[in-house]
Amino acid sequence: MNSAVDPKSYETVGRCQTVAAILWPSFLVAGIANSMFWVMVDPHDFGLIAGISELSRIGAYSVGFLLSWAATALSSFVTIRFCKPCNQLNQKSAQ
Amino acid sequence: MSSPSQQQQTEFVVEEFYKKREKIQPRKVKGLFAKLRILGVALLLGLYYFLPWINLNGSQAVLLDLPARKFHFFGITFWPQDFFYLAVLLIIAALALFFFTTLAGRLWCGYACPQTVWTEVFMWIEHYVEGDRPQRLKLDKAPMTARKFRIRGTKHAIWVTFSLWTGFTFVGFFTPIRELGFSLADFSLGPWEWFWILFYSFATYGNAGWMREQVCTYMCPYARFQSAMFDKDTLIISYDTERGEPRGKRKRKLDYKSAGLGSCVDCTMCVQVCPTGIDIRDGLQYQCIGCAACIDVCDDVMERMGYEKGLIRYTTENTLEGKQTHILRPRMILYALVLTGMIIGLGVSIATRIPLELNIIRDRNALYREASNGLVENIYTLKVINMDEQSHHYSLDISGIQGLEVIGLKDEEIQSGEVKEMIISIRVDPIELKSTSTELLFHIEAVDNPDIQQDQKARFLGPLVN
Ligand code: SF4
Ligand code: SF4
Repeated sequence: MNSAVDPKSYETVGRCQTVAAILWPSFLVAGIANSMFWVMVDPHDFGLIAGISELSRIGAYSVGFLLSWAATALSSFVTIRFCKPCNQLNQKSAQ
Repeated sequence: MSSPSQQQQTEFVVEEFYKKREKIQPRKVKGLFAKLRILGVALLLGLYYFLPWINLNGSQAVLLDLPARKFHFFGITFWPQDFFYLAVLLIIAALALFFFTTLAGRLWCGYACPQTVWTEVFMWIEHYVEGDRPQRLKLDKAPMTARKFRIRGTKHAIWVTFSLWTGFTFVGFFTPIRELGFSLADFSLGPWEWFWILFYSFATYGNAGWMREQVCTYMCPYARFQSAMFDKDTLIISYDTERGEPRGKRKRKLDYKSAGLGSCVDCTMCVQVCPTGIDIRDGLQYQCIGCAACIDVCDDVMERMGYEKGLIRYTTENTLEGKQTHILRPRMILYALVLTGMIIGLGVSIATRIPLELNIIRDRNALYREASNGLVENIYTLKVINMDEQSHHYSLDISGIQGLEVIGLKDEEIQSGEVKEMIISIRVDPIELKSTSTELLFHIEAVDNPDIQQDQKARFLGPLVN
């Protein structure tokens, strides 16, 4: 419990947990956002607007999901970076 | 500059996190809660693996037909326009989670979460191939020999096969599973189907085979929020410290009370069976998924010692503090009421659902227009959505103003699932207008089935002449 508050703990979170913390929440959110989007927009209409006619619906859902996952993962990645305490960054650059 | 105690703490943290995770080898348990879990696993996985194979009138009964944007569920077809139902369903699910968590903690985790359910099956396989905890620990330590290689290989082969079947079934909820099977057999499967089968298989294999309790500890959002739903009357799995301590090993016949011992015989069975590797005797911990394995095993030990069961049991904070527990408290009653209300509401609204939708959008660019013959004209865009399985002709009846004229209405057949847009204009004699804004009633009805009908209202704007 305490470790969430202790700024020290961020530097000691294992690599696996870091990767999970980046990829996993972003996966969930991308899944939800992507489903909401395609519920409202039919890939066929989307294809017409975007000028991609040979996109199948399954393809559109999948590509849409992977793209949104990439976007949300990027956001998680930046969050993790920002969670690092300044003094640790200072130490890094001093080395 | 850090004080010695801070130093110590940092070291502890470093050790805690950098320590390589040791694989937890839970011992197999028998007992009431283990039985309940087997029931949960059988029920849920039974549904999962068999539902897609059920056919109704020659087509798959449960099919989320993404390419066609329809969801078939035992004869009812849902369209994206029915998103409302899904939203209500999600709210119901969330409320149910609140209800059960407040009632007895992580019931979901212990008996119903896919992570638990699939891990359980993976552990059965492991247990079947490698034996129980002592054998597995020995195998872990043993150097790689032909025998170890064979055992490990067998386990992984079964795991992988099971995972692939799981991935295949998953995609079978989205693409008709029989066709999927055929195209798998003659190698004509599309790239996306391949991708998702492998993706889901890999996720199953990784999560249930390797990650296990780490998913719960590090990756599960529910686990991070669940304790917020607890109160002092929530049934949680706890060790009765009062009764158990001081713990200690003893002979079975010993009168332990006069020897100054508590009921805990310190056999560490509760630790050995715990799938998250914690010691429940240290108190409620975040990692505990409420699987009740420790209850089962401890009850067994108590029975064999001839002690009273329930040293570890479902109990509430209030009880442990010697206060009264209220299971039926206002919060629970409220959750229950809202939950039943919503379930009934959803059921009724699906049962009486009319597979037709009419949306009317008044032209926003102009208030009204004066047509050449002195009539006042309003423009509307109508969207008719046929959500039925059959195509229909519809008749539209508009009322509300004397002698109104409708221009641009076409009688067309609308296909199943089709959204037809029509732009119509309505003209009225301004003499008939009683106000600058009059309500019009649009009534649409399927020509061949008067049960399929919808009413919608729209406003007609015009000048007031008298
Ligand atoms: S902690 Fe999360 S993943 Fe683990 S059993 Fe509970 S709900 Fe499932
Ligand atoms: S402490 Fe008990 S209930 Fe909690 S996870 Fe471990 S065995 Fe299951």
